This record gives sequence, C-alpha cells and structure tokens, in this order.
Amino acid sequence: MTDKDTKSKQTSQKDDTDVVMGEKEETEQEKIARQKKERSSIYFSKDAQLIQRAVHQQDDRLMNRALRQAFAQRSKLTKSILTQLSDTLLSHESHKESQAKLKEYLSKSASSDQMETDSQPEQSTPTPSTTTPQQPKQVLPEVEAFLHLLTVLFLIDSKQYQVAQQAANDLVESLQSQNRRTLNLIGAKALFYYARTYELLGNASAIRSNLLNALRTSSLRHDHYGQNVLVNLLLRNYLQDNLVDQASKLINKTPTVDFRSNSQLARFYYYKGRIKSIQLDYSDAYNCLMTAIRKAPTNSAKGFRVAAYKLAIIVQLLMGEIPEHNVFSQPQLRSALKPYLELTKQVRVGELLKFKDTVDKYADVYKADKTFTLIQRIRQNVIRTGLKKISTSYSRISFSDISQKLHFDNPDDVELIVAKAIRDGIIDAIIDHQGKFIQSRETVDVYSTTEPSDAFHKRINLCLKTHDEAVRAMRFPPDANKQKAQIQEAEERRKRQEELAEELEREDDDDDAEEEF
Amino acid sequence: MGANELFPLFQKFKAAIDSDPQNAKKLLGDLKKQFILLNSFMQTSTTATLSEEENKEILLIRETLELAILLSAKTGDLESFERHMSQVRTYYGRTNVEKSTREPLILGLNLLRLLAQNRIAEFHTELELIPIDQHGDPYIKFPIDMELCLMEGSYNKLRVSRNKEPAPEYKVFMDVLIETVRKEIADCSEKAYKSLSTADAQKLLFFGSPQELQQFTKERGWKVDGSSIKFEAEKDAIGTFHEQAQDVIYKTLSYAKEMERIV
Repeated sequence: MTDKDTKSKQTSQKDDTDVVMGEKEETEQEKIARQKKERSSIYFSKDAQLIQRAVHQQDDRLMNRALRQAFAQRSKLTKSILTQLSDTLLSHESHKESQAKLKEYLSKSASSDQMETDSQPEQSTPTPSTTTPQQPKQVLPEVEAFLHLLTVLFLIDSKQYQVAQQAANDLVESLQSQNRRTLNLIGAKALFYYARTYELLGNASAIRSNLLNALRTSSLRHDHYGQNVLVNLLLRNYLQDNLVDQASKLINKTPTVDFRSNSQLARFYYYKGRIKSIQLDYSDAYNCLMTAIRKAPTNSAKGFRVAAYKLAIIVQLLMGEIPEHNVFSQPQLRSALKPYLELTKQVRVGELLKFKDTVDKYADVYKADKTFTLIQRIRQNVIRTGLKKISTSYSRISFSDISQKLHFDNPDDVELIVAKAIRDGIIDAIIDHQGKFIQSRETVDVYSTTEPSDAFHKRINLCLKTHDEAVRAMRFPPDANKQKAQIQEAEERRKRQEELAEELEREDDDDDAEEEF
Repeated sequence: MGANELFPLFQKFKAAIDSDPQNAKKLLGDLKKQFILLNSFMQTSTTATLSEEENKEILLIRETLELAILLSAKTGDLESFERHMSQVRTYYGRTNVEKSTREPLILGLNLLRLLAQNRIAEFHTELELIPIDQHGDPYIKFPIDMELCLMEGSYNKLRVSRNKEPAPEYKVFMDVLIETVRKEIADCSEKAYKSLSTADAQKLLFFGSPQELQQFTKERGWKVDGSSIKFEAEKDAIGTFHEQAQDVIYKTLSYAKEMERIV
C-alpha cells in the first residue's frame, strides 16, 4: 500500500519532491535488501537444519542436498549474513572459540566491502529480537564446519585469498582431528576449497605432502568422499607442474576409487585421459576423455567440457581418426574449439605446409591449453593421411611424385617413410626399390574382414556398460533385498523340510521292505 | 666437514673423468659418501633462503652429480646414468640456488637416452617437464628433432644428424639410437619389400661393409638368394580362421549372457 502511495505521489509531483523521492527510494531499496538478506539468511539456516537432520538420520543424500542448495546460493552470501548466522547458531558456550575465529576472519576482510559494513549495525539490532527468546543450543560439529566452510567460500568469492587460505587451513585442521562419518562430505568440500585457495595464491605445490597425508587418513577411515576429492586434487596438482610421471604413478597405486559423485568421476577421467595421451596411449586416453565428457553436466561446466573436448580432438587426430563435425558445431563450444577445427581440417586434407601454418597461427592458444606438445606429434599423422590419399587414388606412383605432392623437405626419406607406413598398416602396398615406385595392393572388401564385427562389438559393449552403470546408479530401498531373501529363505526351508519328510518316509518304507524281506 | 674440505676431492674427481674413468668412478663413490654427512643433503625446500655454506654445498653436490651423468654417458653406463639423473633432478627447479648452466645439456642428454632405449612414453613425460620456451635450446631441440624423424620414418635425416650432435656426450647415445633405428628399418623392410638387392640393403641399413650385412641377415633369419634378399609374406590364414571363429562364438555367448541379465 505505502509503496503504491509514494509512487503515485512521485508521478504527480515530479518537480518538487526530487529530494524526498531519492530518500524514499533509498529506504525502499534498503528494505528490499534487508528482506532479501533475511530471506537468504533463513535459507542458510534451513540448510543448517537439514544438515542436522542428515546427521541424525545418517543420510548422505540429505547432507548432499543441503550443501548443494547452500552452494547454489553462494552469490548471496554477505558478511552480515555470516555474522548473523554465527550469532544465532553458535551462541552456545562450547562454540565460543570457533565463533570468535569466524568473526576474526570476517573482520580481517573488512576493507573490501564497505557497503556491507555500513549496513551491519542496522542489521544486528533487529535480529536479536527474533532469536533471543530461544535458549542457546549446542549444535553439531557438522553445522559448525558448515558455517566455517561458508565463510571460506565467501572469502574466496570476495577475493580475500590470504584470509581464505588461513580460514581453510584452520577448517581442514579441525576437521582432520575429528573422526565422524557424517563429516566426510563437508570435509571433502573443505579440502577442495583448501586446495583452491593455495592454487589461487600460486603455491599449490606447497600442500602436496599435506594432501597425500590427508589421502592416507581418508583411506584408512574409508572416507570415500575425501578419497575421491583428494585423488583428483593431487592429480590436478601434479599436472599443473607437468609432473606426469608422479600423476601416473598415483593412478596406478591408488586402488580403484569408488566414486560417489559424477563430477568427481568426470574430473578423474579427464586427468587420466591427459596422462595417457602424454604417454602415447591414445586409445585409452580417448576412452577416458569420452567418459569424462559423458559424465560431465551437459549445461553447466562449460570450461571443463571445452578442455575435455580439446584434448579428445587432439587424441583422435593422433589416432589417425578425424573427429566428427558435430563436435565443433555445438553452439556453446563453437568459438572455443575454432583453432582445433582449423587444425582438423588441415589434417584431413593432409597438407603439410598448411598444417604448419595453422599451428604457427594458433601457437599461443595451443600453448595456453597445454596441448602444444601433443599437437607437434600430429605432424606424422598429416603425412600419413596424405599417403593414404595418394595410395587410394594411384595404384602405382614414384617416390619423387609423392615427395612433390606432400612437400617433403628431403626426398631421400620418402622410401623409408612409406615403408614405415606400410608396416604400421596405414597403407597396403609394396615398394619396388629398383623402379623407385610403390605399387598398391588390391583393396580388400572391408566386409570380408573382422572390422564390421569389431565395430559392432565396440558399440554393444558401450551400451552394456551404460546399462550397468544405470543400474548401479539407481537407489534401492535398503530392506527390499532382505525381505525378498527372507521370504525366499522361508520357502526354501519349507521345501527342505518337505523333502526331508519325504525321504524319511521313503526310508521307513525301505526299512519296512527290508524287514519284510 | 663442509664444502671447502670436500673441494680437493671434487677437483681430483673432475680431473679423473677425462684421464681415468675407472678411478673417477671410485672417487665419485667416496664423494657421495661424504655428501650424506653434509647438512644441506636433507635440505629439500625449493624456496627457503639458504645460508652461504648451504648454498655452496648444494652447488657442489649438484655439479658432482652432473659430472657423474656426463661420465656415465661417456662410458655408456645407462644404469648409472638413470640413477644419477633421478638424484640430480631434486636439485633442478629450485628458486633458491642459481640455475645450472649444464641443465639443458643434462636434460637433452636424458631425452636422447630415453629415445635410444625406445622408451617413447617416458620421453614425452620428460619433455612435458621442460617449459616450452626452452624447447628451442640446441641441446634440447636435438632430441626433439630426432624423435620427430623417428616417428615420421625419416631415418636418413636422422642418420645425417649423426655428426651434428651439439655435444660430444651425445655420441654414445646416438650410436645406440642408430642401432634401434636399424632394427626399425629391418622390421619395415620385411613388410614393405618382396625382395631387395644386397647392395641396396646395405645402403638402406647403413652398413659399412657387406660382412656386417651378412651378419645382420643371419641374425634376422632372412633368406639370401644370390645377390638379393627375399622377404616372405607370412600367411597363416588357417590359424586366423580358427581364431576368428572362436572370437565370434565368444562374443555371441557374452551378448546372450548380458541380454539374459538385463531381461
């Protein structure tokens, strides 16, 4: 009502009430802002309640949901909300220490958002009225950790990396001293942001041994969430410094990790694909990358998908295959993948000179993407596609012609290059050394080879695997199996008894018969 | 015990490398035993500021290890090369000591060694560790070029490079590499030619004399018919037919099993 009144007033007396109008608007804005703030602070405290429920029911899913919801709202986090939350939730005496700590972090970040500090005193006055009647309650350590994590998040988002790092350090330390199963999920998230702060400050290599220690602890505690995150963090850490050897050893030494979340699984496969591609294990690398792309969310995480696609394209080129065109035409990724589309075009044509030009043109992009060294390996594939083309179009061609067509810098090598291509099964031909030419062998019908059945097998396997994964991903009621088993067991017992009875009877009969005999 | 006390021993070792490799190896062992006693031996931080003494010690250890690598390269002792390589690696990439001038040479040498041993995957992992802007360094560029030639099949180019090594230490590994290449060419020839005259084969496999070629053909079990070598295309159609049938049976059964599980 009042809003409407002021608005109508504003429209009627435009000239006179300029100043008043401004003031009014300000208060209105403040009001909205306050409402928003209250709403989101309620939101976060609801998440805290959800966490409590999750702990009592020991349900990871609830916990996951609470964290997901809270993280989705992270942009709404402000200092005042955090202060308020810590005031209401951590008001019990046993939390005094952590409450003081949180406030300390927040006060350290004071310089950044004056907007918030201005409104803070106003904010703190109305809140006690709603909460003071309640007796301060002791909250679970999970909630405490949750608040701490939110603080870290807020500090990262407001680019207070130094303070964030300190806060994350304390959080991880306190989490590691407690062994509660219900803390695992929050602990995993905390570790992720812990590593993130170090990465943002550019000293990621410093925490490598800490992460390894944490991995050991979480393995001993059977903390799957922690293990998942830590393996990925370590891989990322190693790969940032190009320590491929260590990363590959880590993958080999860690027992198969049971991944609980798709995003972690996708990350793991991406890193694995990267390692395999560097080690020239292209088909494995390609499989890993494809799994990573499939597991990644389809709408968000654009950066991840772009990176995975870039690598997958290169690996495919290195395998001598040409990526399908629709990979490049995905609307979200089109512009990011353009340098790679150009590259693919040149490989397809088999033009060595143009390929070189393209690589030179986009060298900086490739270097930034860390694909440059891989791309340099493609050169031989360009030569091979060129050779393949020639061998399909000519049944007999001289070395000098090949050299001319493919722009080799020294024609002496043609013979050996062709010989190698023949050995690797790229072309099917025979070299005549005296005549200095190659003669293609007659092409065999593909359908008389095992190739179609192999391709078929590959696809069927993929379908079966997807089905398996789908079944595994479904949730079943915990007792369904048990009940069934119980019924089955009862039935079996009955059957067994019947059989026993029958047998006894028969034995009796036998005995009788014997006696009669 | 400090860097200054060990310096005479180090000088002796350095001098012995050229004149008496055997003695140098022995001296190296003595030196390394002394290093364990140094304070800076356990100093693994890459950023912490070091005292003058520590700095000296680390530089001494590093140089000794580098020389040990060059020594193993000269004598062709691959095992000791690998061991010292992994030891010296902990001293590279430190921001608290000045960069070694021998670093590119050592790294390039290591790349060439991996190439010569045909450990291509490790070659690439190693290469990833070297920043891209250093790839232009003549010491490092050489093994990179060699790898390109090897992958492409430009074996002639590779052979021509034989005498263009950037450092004398590369020679031993180049010899090993040429041997590897020869095997590659032999493998390719078996598939690509029906027959090859001995004179051409000698040229192709870079043998200096017909005797060497004869020895080689014997090792590979090639048939020499007068003045030409005959390669026989292997044909085992019957065997593959059997295998194929088995493969099909196996696959079909597994499909049936999986289908059953789904239904």
